[in-house]
Amino acid sequence: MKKLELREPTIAVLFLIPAIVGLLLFYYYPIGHTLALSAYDLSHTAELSPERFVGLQNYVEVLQSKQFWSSIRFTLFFTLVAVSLELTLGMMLALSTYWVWGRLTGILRAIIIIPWAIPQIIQASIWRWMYNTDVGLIGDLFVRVGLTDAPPLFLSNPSLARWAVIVAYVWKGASVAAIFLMGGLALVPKELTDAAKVDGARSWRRFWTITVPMIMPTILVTLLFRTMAGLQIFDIIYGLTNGGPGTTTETLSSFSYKYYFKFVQYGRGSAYAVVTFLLVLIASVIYIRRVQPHFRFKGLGS
Amino acid sequence: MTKVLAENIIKRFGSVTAINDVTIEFKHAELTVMVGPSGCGKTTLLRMVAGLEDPTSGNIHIGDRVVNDVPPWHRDVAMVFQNYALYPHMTVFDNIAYPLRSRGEPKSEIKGRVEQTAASLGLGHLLDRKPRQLSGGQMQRVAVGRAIVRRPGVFLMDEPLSNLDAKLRVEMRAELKRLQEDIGVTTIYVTHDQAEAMTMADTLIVMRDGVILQAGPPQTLYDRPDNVFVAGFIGSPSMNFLPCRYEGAGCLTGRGFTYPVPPPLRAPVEAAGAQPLVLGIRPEDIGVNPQPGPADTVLARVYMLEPLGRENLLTLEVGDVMIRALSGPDIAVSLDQTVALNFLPERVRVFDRTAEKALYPDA
Amino acid sequence: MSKKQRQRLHIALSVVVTIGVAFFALLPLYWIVLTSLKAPGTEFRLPIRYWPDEISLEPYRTILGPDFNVQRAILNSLIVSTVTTIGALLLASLAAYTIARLRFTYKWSSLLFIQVASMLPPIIVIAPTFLIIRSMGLLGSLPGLIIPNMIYNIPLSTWLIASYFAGLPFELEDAAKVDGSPPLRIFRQIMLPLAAPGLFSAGVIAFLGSWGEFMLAFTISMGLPEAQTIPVAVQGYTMAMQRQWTWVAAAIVLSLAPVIVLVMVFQKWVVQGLTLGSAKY
Ligand SMILES: Nc1ncnc2c1ncn2[C@@H]1O[C@H](COP(=O)(O)OP(=O)(O)OP(=O)(O)O)[C@@H](O)[C@H]1O
Ligand SMILES: [Mg+2]
Repeated sequence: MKKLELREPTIAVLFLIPAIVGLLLFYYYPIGHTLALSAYDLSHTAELSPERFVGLQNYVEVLQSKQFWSSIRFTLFFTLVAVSLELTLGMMLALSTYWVWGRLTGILRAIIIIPWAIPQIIQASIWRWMYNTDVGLIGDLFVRVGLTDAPPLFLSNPSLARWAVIVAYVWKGASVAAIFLMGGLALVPKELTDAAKVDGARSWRRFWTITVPMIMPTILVTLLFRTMAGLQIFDIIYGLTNGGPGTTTETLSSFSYKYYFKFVQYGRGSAYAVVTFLLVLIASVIYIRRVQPHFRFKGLGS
Repeated sequence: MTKVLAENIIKRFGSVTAINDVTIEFKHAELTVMVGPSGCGKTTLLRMVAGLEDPTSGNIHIGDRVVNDVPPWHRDVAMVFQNYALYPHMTVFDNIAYPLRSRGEPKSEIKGRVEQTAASLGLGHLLDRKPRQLSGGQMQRVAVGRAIVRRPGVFLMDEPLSNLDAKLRVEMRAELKRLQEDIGVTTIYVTHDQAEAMTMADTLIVMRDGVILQAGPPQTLYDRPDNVFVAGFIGSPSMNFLPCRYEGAGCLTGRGFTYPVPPPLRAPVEAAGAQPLVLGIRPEDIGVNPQPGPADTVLARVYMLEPLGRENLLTLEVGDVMIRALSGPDIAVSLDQTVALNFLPERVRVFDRTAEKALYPDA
Repeated sequence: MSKKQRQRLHIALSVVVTIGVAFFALLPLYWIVLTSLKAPGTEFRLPIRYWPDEISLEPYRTILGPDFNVQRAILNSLIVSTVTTIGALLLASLAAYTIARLRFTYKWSSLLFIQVASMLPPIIVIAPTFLIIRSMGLLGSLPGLIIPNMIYNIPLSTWLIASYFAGLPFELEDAAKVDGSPPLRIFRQIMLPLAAPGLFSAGVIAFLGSWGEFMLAFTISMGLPEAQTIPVAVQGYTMAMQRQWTWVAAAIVLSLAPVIVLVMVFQKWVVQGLTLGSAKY
């Protein structure tokens, strides 16, 4: 009796095919399609087939539009500020779990993880309510603390809206960063993290000279992931301000989505999407260059 | 007949040559022991027999067929791995039963066989434990159990007793040898333990740097080593080597001694002429005389004396070479004293220092 | 300061820090829960109340009632997340096994192919995906949502599971081969069970990811209740009911309860999973 028996390379191919086909269908083909769409004039048609080849004209138009520059500026500003805050707060949170009295570690960790579990779009709804002009919690706190006389118009004042979005976003982002960094810290030998409990200048120095270099790979990966997340930001914008007031909080992704599904201008939308993609690509390449010396792809080779 | 034949085997890992053109036959129903320094390719050779590595060139035969293209699960071999490789998520029982289950043996039979095997290894009370709840020695015995529960064509054992304590090791080696002889399975056995090598082997193989230096019955390797390396590797404490030259007049001369060439070796030594040579003598073949007389030609200074109970191990300085000798327990010498050494002439070996080859009359 | 005093101070400061973190991390949630327990209409009453005066379950009754039927969206989300997770784990564990363990010439290219996908922003694939799902006739249906979601989870899951596989000793497979098992059986009987913690971490993360996924769900659901997941539903309520925040809040609380429970129960695996993914390359 000869049973069907597969050797390793055959199995490898069989095992990889489903994932590869899936990725081809829902990642690589769509990217190609988006690139193609961005070279056609598809304004005011919802049709599948490209209408008129216009080459780079969509990009030219996009690059000439004020909206594009304001959205790219906001996207970059948002990413820069949000990622800095996330990493700083995340690091403080992660370290605090090591610093606090042993019995509180578990509780603190649980508290830190909770915001991570909350979907971004729901987070947007929650904060929309927190920012409510009449009965919002934040406005009330502002008044109580004496920062303002009346609750500020968080979501309708253009400069406040930018910060309102960032604060709402960082609330969860800091939690995400903290979880990553806690993971990294878990790999630092216990004596080092224990030593950090002895307060004073020495532990601060030790933190910078020993702990930080040791978790550098984790820090860099956190930075990369959070930067990528920032550059593609969509949900929270859509839910919290929908790009408003005016177009002050529009990001590349939110504009792109509007062009696709609201204005039904696939060509224009694709151009925005491609720019987003390029930004993410540039960020990744910079990071990976920077990060490479820190990594060994342990075990994944043979 | 399940002899195993490795034929012109070469194995490279990138630029490292782990096995360099080895041809060797492991005879049916014999226990062949492989010894050699760490990294000499013992494990690699076992893995190729098991089918876990493909030779870069050459053929592996098991029985009458070339098995190069036969995957491990069809080779009918059982292997004990150097680091146990127990399945962490399975109990001891399931670990030992795994080879039987893989081959679809009936359930009723599996239970009996596993229990019997476990009992013979003193694991009967541990059957429900997981590997992480075992000591190193217990894990090793489970690994052995997993191999011997079946009656395979070939046993491959990679240092199967290395983690047991001395007493258990002696018991287990007798146990394994007995088992192997009872069921008559061709066995390839790797060890670093001299006693294991000498007592268990039907055939002993000494390897170095991916080549086989000598293969034969252990006593032959002990008595008639082909070269300096084998001479030094087999036997414990190991053979002493004194650099010397043949300077005519029937005598070997080295720093601080002259020694008359034993008659049977005269012809080959004379043939070697003025080549640099090495005189080899085992510690147990040296007589120590605390009162040197005028006729003694090998004098030594006592450097250290270590009583081993049954005998004494002496470290002695001959010229500028340290050698070791075993003497009776009642020898009366003091440190730095000068003693005379008598080498048993029939046990003296002479090697060509450049080629490291032994000189024998009939070679 | 004596040692004992210092220790007391440390404990006191620890309590302060923990309460401080809890305040900022949980305040928005507290606020939403509080709102969800107010009688509809009272949420706009001034001055703002920080404690519940009287608890009303009216918002929950409404939002679970026939007009909103939020449980339908929750059920949809459960279906989508569960099926997505199972599917993603299946596909990812196969790919991860190949990449981490099998001898295969193109394994580096495969790894690259899979991981590069994880760097692609959703916005660049959303429009063509919409078109693909439309041409499959799956717009406004759960399968239309599940299939792409499953694929979106492959890169991260593969990475997590592969790191896990890579950490297992190679001799285990060798031993199993010699013991008479061909590769497929080794995968099933030895490798998968041993990678269970990795699968579990990846599973929890994939589940949470698909639970909260919005852009795709929003696009594919086409506003049809039978295809709306809970984030889409909640977003819809938020937009539609600017004067009925107790209802919205109740919907939010219901949407969060399952994931918060999940995260609390499986905390360890979440952290472990992300550690594997980020630090242990
Ligand atoms: N998978 C591999 N890749 C690269 N080199 C290898 C591999 N396996 C073995 N080697 C090399 O091949 C040589 C022989 O190794 P092997 O494990 O067979 O030695 P050994 O005789 O079993 O040593 P030990 O007594 O320490 O177990 C060594 O130099 C080793 O570094
Ligand atoms: Mg070895």
